Parts: sequence; structure tokens; C-alpha cells
Amino acid sequence: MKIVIAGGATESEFLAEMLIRKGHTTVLINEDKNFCDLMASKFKELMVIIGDPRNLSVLFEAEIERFDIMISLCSEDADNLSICQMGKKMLGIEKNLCSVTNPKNVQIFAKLGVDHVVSSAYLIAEMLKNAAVLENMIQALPIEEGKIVLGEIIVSQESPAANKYVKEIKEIPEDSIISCVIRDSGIIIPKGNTMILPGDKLIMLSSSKAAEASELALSGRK
Amino acid sequence: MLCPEESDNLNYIDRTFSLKTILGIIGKLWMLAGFVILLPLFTLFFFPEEFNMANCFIVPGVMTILIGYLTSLLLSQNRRERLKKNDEAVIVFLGWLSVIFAGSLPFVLSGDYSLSQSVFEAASGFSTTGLSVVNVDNAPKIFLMYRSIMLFFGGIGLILVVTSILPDIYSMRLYTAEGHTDLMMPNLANSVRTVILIYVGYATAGTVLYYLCGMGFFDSLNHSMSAISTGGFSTKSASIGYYDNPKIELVTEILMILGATGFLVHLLLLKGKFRVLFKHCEIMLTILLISLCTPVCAFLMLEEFSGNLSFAVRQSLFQVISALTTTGFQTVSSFENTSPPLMFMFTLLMLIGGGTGSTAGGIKQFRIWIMMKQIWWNIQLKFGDRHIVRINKIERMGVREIISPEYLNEVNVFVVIYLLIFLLGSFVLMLCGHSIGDSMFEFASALGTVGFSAGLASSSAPQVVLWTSTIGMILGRLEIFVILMAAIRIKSGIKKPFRR
Amino acid sequence: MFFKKSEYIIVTGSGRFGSAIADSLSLSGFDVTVIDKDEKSFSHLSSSYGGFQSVGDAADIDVLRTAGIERASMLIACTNNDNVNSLIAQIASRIFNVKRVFARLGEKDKVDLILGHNIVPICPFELSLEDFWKKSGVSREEEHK
Repeated sequence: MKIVIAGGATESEFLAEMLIRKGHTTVLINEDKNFCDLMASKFKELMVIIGDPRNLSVLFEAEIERFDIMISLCSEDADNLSICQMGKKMLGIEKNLCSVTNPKNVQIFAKLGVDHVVSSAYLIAEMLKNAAVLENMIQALPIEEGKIVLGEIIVSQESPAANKYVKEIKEIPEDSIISCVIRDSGIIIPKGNTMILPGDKLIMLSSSKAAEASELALSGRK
Repeated sequence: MLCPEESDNLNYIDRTFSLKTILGIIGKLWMLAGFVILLPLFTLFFFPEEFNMANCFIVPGVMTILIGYLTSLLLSQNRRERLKKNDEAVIVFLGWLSVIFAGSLPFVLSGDYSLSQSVFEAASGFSTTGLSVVNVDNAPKIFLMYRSIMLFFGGIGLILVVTSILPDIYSMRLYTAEGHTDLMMPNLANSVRTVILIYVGYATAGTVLYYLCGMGFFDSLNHSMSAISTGGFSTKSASIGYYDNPKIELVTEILMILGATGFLVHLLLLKGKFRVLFKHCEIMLTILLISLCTPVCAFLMLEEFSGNLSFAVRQSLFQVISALTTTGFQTVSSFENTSPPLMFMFTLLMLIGGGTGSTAGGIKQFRIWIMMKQIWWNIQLKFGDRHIVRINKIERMGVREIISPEYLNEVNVFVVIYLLIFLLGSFVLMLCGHSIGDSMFEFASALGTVGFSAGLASSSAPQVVLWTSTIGMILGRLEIFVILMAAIRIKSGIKKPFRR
Repeated sequence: MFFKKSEYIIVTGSGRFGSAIADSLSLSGFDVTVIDKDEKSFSHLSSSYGGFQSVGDAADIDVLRTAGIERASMLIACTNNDNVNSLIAQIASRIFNVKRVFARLGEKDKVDLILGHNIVPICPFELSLEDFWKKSGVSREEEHK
């Protein structure tokens, strides 16, 4: 694939290295001369363009028309939006991705046409939200911008789910499913007649709204 | 900003007044003054026997409107000259002075009052003080109505009223110069119209309530306008005490508090945001002061009312509110023989005054609150952990506002100047032969535009006393800084007032 | 009419352009709020300005909400950064459906980004160029793209 990375510093280096190793055609556009020199000398397959990616003329000069992905990692959110939109509208780059510092922009940019928006604060917030709410969920991973939560629940003797068949557990909410049961380091994909035993580790797939309810239903703890 | 006027190397700056614009806008103020003077004539419908007094109003009223109109035409002459820096202070200052003078004419023309007395009464009216040389029990109704009308317009603000009818590009500057601070909405014209609407609404409601309490219509109207403008003129020489009616006192107390509440805070009240309202610093201070002072006052007045506790509390509550809101209505017959601790407490309340952006006077509660908080902030700074970052904030209108050091400084300087003027004015009264207590009480009343009198400023008072009080009232009504600015601007402009 | 029901206009950016617009809109009787990150920028506003001032980052959706963008009938994005103006204009137009949105764009290129939405671009440099061509009477060659 043909990928362009605009702006950024350490993140861009990390991404560029990863993409090159995978064999993708990668173009790096950056204003910082020292950074550009460093990158150019480190990765000979990397095409390094020195210039301000916020300038349309620089983007044209980089000859990135109809590339596959535009990744914009500038420090200003508004710049990233413009670069992604310029990529889509004027350069025919269909897919784009950018980072934002203001977590509120995650959803806004998504509405304005950016395919993937990443905010570290946003991710951490989602993780904290789920972690705080769910004691027993030792690991809660937000997927699809936090709309789906994948989490672990440990079943104890007192849990409402203990010693019951899956189909008997009425308390599992609508948007929730036990995707797999880990027992004595073996993995069981549960069906309706699987019995849940104390000591089992359940991997739950739920919507973020149902996550709390499902924990309550299965482990008995809030 | 101000002192460079004196420095030599800035001599190239053209300090001539933007005379045409200044006079033009003052002309508009005169038209308003003329209207205010003519307004009382409607009372002749109800009291046709006073027709012989009509000329006292018709002549100055019409003249002022005419002169005002002709002067205001200066504004549209050719291309309007730009209003120079600080000239708006000159407009407010000279405008108010000239309106007061014009407003004194009906009294002069009646033949019953000397010039000093007439100017005193007009100043008292427009500044919403309420000190009076008029013998209200014998005065013609048209004059009583006139006084209340002066209170109403003066309380709202002459510039504010003019802006609502004839706004122009300098309206915002003038609005600020007259001492109004924030706007209710992000639109000057609509903001001032809303303010007027609110006050007319309150005055109307007050009139109705008074009427329902048994007051005659004429008295209801007058007292309502007087209460909401925190003026204090009454149609009875015994003021509200004449009625000896707790219901009337309650209505008055409500109107007084409303009048002493800032325009912006009214917005909170009318929108029903009560929780925010009660957390507002000025409301908290008002409640605190009233709660503290009423029992103290009642205790001190217990003897006078021969031990009748409930009566003492009722009187105290009324007088404390009247003093704090700088209204000046009285239920006690006179302050002449009040005990020193009581006089002291009232003097303090009068100095503190009402809320900013209201019809009340005094130092204003917002500043007092800031000064008190300052003490606490200073203690924290001195004895607290130096590394903790503290931002000084005040609870205002539902927002915890930051008080910058510059603003703090302004407030402190204002309070110092206010107190200096207070001391100076009191001293002058003392020189006229009055006791310290009486002088300070009386001047605090004038400066704070309250209206309580210990007998000093009366119809038999000598000119010095009257003029000192008049100056105090004007200084109290207009922002001190604005008057200073006007004075300095006039001084620098006088050196070369006319462009050659 | 005692009360003119006024349109509410938000101006983002209190630079020379923004404050000039805010001033004249306020004088013309509209309800105006100016938003700027830097409090000192408000000194550009004239002393006749009768609207509100709000300190904050206008590209932040919450700042716009506090300023009342939901009831605004017009928004003028005129910070000195084209990309920020573009973002603010798009938020106003596409998320809050503000009826009339104007964006100041220094670079003509950015105009294409906002095409297709009801955002009207104001390009001061283009306007100045047009003015020059008109006033100088010099005939010019069009740059062919």
C-alpha cells in the first residue's frame, strides 16, 4: 500500500519504521530539517519530503495523489483535519487517520470525514471508565471507539452465575455475551448447556452500557 | 493615561474638546430633562386645583426641550466629529450637572425655594438621595410627583434612558461612564430597554401592592417609584412611619431590596435561577448584614419602644434595610436624637450601600465583599504554604470569577478615595457647628445617596450645608473616577478649547 | 419597535478583522459574542462594542456551546489560522446547523475544503488582489491551473 505520514515526530518515526518493514510505500512529509535528515539516513526506502504539510502546494509536490492512506500527526488538531480533508478532496487519498489532542474532537472529526481519529487521552479515559466501574474486569479493552467492551470476569462461589448453565443465567443483559470461558488454562466456547463453575474466568463481549450490568449479573459484584 | 496631560513632550497632542459632539449629546440629555419636567403635568388631571403651578413646569420644560433639541442638532452637522478620549466623562459630568440645574427650575419658579434649596432638591431627586427641603405635607401634589419622577429617572440613569430612545455610536462609552458595568445581553439597545422594562414592571407591581394595602393611588405611585429607585422621597413628612402598617412596610422592604439589586442579578431572579442567586456574593452579604444588624439595632432601640420587642424588631428591620439599600425611608420620626452606637451602625450601613449596577449608592457591596475577602487572601498568602497555587476568586452571578491584582487595586483605591471624600465632607459639616456624629451621619447619607437626616440638611439649613450635601450627592451618584476624569479632561482642554 | 428581536452572531477571533466585524455588527444592533483565546486581543475592540466577550479556544466544541452556538444564526470564523477557521466553520455548519457561516481563509486552496456545505469563504488576499487589479487598471494574465 502507499501511505503518507504528515507531521509528528517520534510517532511518525515509529510508524514509518513499522510500515517500511511491512513493505509499504511510505512518504514522510515534515517541516523539521533535522528530523527529515535523520529519517532519510535511517531508512533508505523511506521517501522524505521537507515542507509544511499544511500547505497544499507541498502536498502536491510530494506527488502523493491517489495514495491509499493519509496519516496526519501534527500537533494542532485543526491542521490534522485540514490535511486529511485536503488528502481526500484534492489528492484522492480515500482513507485517512489522524491524532488529536482534544479528546472532544474524536467524535467531531469522525463526523467531518476522518476515518480514524486517535486520542490518547480519550483511550485512557475509556479504559479508566471501564476499569473504575468494573472491579472484576481486570482487563477491559475498548473497541470501536469504546462502543464495545471486551472484559474478564472471575466467577466465585457466591456469584449468581456459579454452578448454572449458561442458558439458565437470566441476568445476562441483551447486549452482552460470554464469548469464551477459561477453565484451568483450557478454553471453552460456551453454548447454552455449558455449566459455569466457580473459578472460571469469563471473557465478556458487551456494549459499554451493558458492561456494568453483565458484571453484576455474573460475578455478583459491582 | 491621565497624567501625561501635564507632561511637556506630549504637547503635540491636540487636546481641544470634541465640542460639537459633547454639546450635541448633552443636548439629548436636556431633551430628556425637559420631558422629565413636563411629565408631572399629568397630575393636573387628578388635582386640577393646582393649575396655577403648571407654569413652573411648562416654561422650563418646553424651554429645556427646545434648547436641547437645537443643541443636539450639532450632532448631525456635516460629518460628526469623533468623540475624543475621556470626553464621555465630560458629557456625563456636565450633563448631569446641567440637568440638575434645569431640574431645579420648577422649584425656583414656584417662589417657595431659594436657588440653593432648589438645586439641592433637584440634586437629591436625580441622585436618588431623598434628603429634602420641601415641606411635604403642604406641598402641591404636582411637586411631589415631580420629585418621584426625578428619582425614577435618576435611579435608572439619564444616559441609560437616552440610550434606549436615541442610541448612537458613543452610547457604549457613555453607558460605561455613567457607572453601569455589564450588559444584560450582548446588545446595548436591548439591554437598556430590558432594564427600563424591569423597573417599570417593579414600580407598577409596587403601586398595585401599596394600593391593595390601603394606600391611596397617588401615594402608592409615588412611594413605589421612590422605593424601587432607592430614593426615599415620601408624600408624607413622617415617611413610611406615617402608615404604621406592617404590610406596607413589607412591600417597601421588598421594593427597596429589589432596587438595590444590580440589573444583572435581576436577570437571575426573573429567570428563576434561585440557587445561583443566593450564592451570589452581594446577596449573601445583604442577607448577612441585615441578619446581623437588625437584632443589634432592635436591642439598641428597645428602650425607645418601651420594651416592645416585636415592634422594635419590625422597626429595626425596616430601618436597617432602608439604610443598607440607601433608600432613606423612615419609620422612626427622626434621627436627631439617636444614640451614638445606633448612629454609628447606620453610618456604616450607609457607607456600605447597595449592589453594583443598581439604583443604590454607597461603596457598593461587591467592593466591600472583595475588601473583606482580601483580608482572608492575605492571611492565606502570609501563613499558608507558599507553593500551593491559589487563584483568588469571587462567587459572582453563578461564576467563580477571578479577581486580578489590577482589579483589586482599583477597588482599594476607590474605597480610599470614597472614604477621604467622606471625611472631608463630614469635616465641612463639623465646621458649620455640628457634632462629629451628626456630621458623619448626614454626609454619609448624602454621599451614599441615602436620605436619612439628622436634621442638618433641612429647609432651615445654611447654604454651606446645602451645597456640601449637594456636592456629596452628585459625587455619590456618579462614579468618582468618572468625575475625576472629567475634571482632568476639562482642565487640559481649557488651555486650548477651541480649534483655531 | 421597543424591542428588536435580534439575530445572535458569534465571531471567533478578535484580531483586527474579527474585532472590526464584531464592532460594526454590534453597532448595527445585533447580539454579538466574540471568542478569543487571548484576553489581550479584546483590546482591538472599540469602546463602542456592546456585545459579550468570551475567553476560550473557539475550536473547542464546549466553548462554542457555552457561547450559545445553538441559538446563533450566524458564525464568522476569523482567527488568523485558516485550518482553525475551517474546523470552526465545519463544526458550526455541519454539527450545529448554523444558518450562515463565514470563514476567513488566507489561502484560496482551502476554499475547496469547505465547498458543498453552507460555508461562505472570505479570502482577504484575493479581495485585495481584485481591488488592486481594478484600481491599477493593469491588464493581467490569468494563472492557469
